[in-house]
Amino acid sequence: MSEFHLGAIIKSRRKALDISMEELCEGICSVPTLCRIENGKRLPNRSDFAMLVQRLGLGSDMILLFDGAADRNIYHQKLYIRLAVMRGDLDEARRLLKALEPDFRPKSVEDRQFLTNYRIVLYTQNYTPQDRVRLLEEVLRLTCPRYSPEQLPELATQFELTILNNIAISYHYAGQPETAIRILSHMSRLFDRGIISEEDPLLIQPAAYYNLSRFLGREGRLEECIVQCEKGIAVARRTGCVEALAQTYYNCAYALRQRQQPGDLELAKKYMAQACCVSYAMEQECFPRRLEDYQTWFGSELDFLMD
Amino acid sequence: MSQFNLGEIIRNRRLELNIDKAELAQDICAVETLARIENGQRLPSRVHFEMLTQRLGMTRQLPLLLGSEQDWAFYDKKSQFQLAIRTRNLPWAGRLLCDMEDMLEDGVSTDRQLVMAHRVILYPNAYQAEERLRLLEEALRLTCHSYSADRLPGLMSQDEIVVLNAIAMTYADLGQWNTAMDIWAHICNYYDRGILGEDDTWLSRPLVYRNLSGALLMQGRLEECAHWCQKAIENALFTAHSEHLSGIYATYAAALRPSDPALAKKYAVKACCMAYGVEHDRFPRRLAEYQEQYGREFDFLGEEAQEDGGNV
Repeated sequence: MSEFHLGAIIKSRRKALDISMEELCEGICSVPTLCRIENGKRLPNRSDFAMLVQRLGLGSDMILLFDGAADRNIYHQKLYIRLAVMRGDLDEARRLLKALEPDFRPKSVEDRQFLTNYRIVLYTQNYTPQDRVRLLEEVLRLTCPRYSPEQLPELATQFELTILNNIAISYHYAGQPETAIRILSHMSRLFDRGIISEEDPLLIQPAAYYNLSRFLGREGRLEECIVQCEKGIAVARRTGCVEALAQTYYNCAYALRQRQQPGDLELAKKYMAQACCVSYAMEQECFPRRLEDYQTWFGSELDFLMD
Repeated sequence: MSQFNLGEIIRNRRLELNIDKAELAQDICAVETLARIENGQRLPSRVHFEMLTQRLGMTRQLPLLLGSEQDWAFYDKKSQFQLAIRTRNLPWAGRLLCDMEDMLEDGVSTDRQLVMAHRVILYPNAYQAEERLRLLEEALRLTCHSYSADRLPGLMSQDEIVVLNAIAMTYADLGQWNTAMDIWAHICNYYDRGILGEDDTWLSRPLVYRNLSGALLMQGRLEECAHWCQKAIENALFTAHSEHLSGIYATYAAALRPSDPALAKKYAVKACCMAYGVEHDRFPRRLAEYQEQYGREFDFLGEEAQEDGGNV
């Protein structure tokens, strides 16, 4: 009969990724504790285990094992909130968050991070950008105690990445675009490293490429902007996860129009047509704006989509 | 500290879904064994635990928690393999399949099922349709012993659904459309029962909707076709997963054409837009279909598509 080898799983994955114990357990548990977990001398508790495996890119679903029906329900409610935010359906997300709040366990670090993050994302107007930065950084430090914009974590759970993404956006609106770009570029490098490139990060990857390219474009860093857009476009085309694709096409077209190298205008026109097509087919809110941009820049060929 | 109560997890979920022990234990283990597992009197083996939890819709990540390092190594390959399939990286999937075959010696039934079925799914042209059907059904019977095309399993894991979908596609290849459609409808209705987690079904759901609606269209069962297209569209827009959406739109347009030509045209436009927007390899075909029906509005996209085709 098989036995539990939770520790062995963590250890072999950690070694395969060439990550030290210190790096993995920071903000989660002490090194001696991780050592005892890896050697099978103790069982990790639920939330520690969930965070350890997420940082190792092993998926968040495993937390379900430790939970009863109520926790499973919370897991799905959280997923639906994320999906609603991704679709841009913020009213629905607010409704879901309100319904969920009474079920939260105030002591759970994960729940506190989730709640703070979405209260800020869904009620942006209640906070100044500076407040948003402060609150989000505070809540990120619950699990990344040494975090600062100059010292970004090398390993992150899916939700830590979500918070980082929102910290970057808040820095942008607080008038510190360089900091926003530094954080998002760091995330882009983490995706490149592949540690977190399993299924889960598809929830955050498209948004991160979109935001990074947007901020780079606004700073006039066109080459970098185009590189990040192309990463985002490639991921979306390959996986079919297209929630940010239309906006990323737009960013790329914008940068190409500014750069004006041979071929850039043709490619910009094609990307804008694709932006219109995707947002139309996915019934996204940005469609009318994309169509208007297309018409202003390139003419009226796509008018028939108006009907 | 939380404790691992595997039996309790299984029992709670089973009761929540109002499934009796016999239904759950079917083809997995004896009812008495399940009772002992649920009461904590014995630990399930890895394969039992994997099958029980998957059929209860408790995600494919769970098996990770059981097993030796060898099991873990296989599981690691398996999750990479699923990602490769999902991202349509077929060369990578092929390499991973070979790796898994090499590791399979004392593999449990779920592992053998995965490898056996995907040998056929990834390389359909290597087999005659009859041979494909035999192999896929044999693979499915590794975990659903009493399966036959007219006795479809009551509870299904995500992995079993993938095999069952491939079986239905093979029946369709053999011209046995009714059998194929019965299987697909069975799976689609199963999604509606909500046992499988929303994020667990992302791998198969768009494809199964696409297959069922396509088959219903071919058979002229337009109302049913439109019903499943609506389901598929709703699901795609909800999850922002666009795989197969272009095809669904095209099918929906065709199903609506006799009853509501204006709406049909709108969905035909969406079918072209979706395929063009993600550079789907079906775009030239969608465009040709559209132009045949409605004229040349998309011409300027078509020229580009042809240039792209040349480059690839």
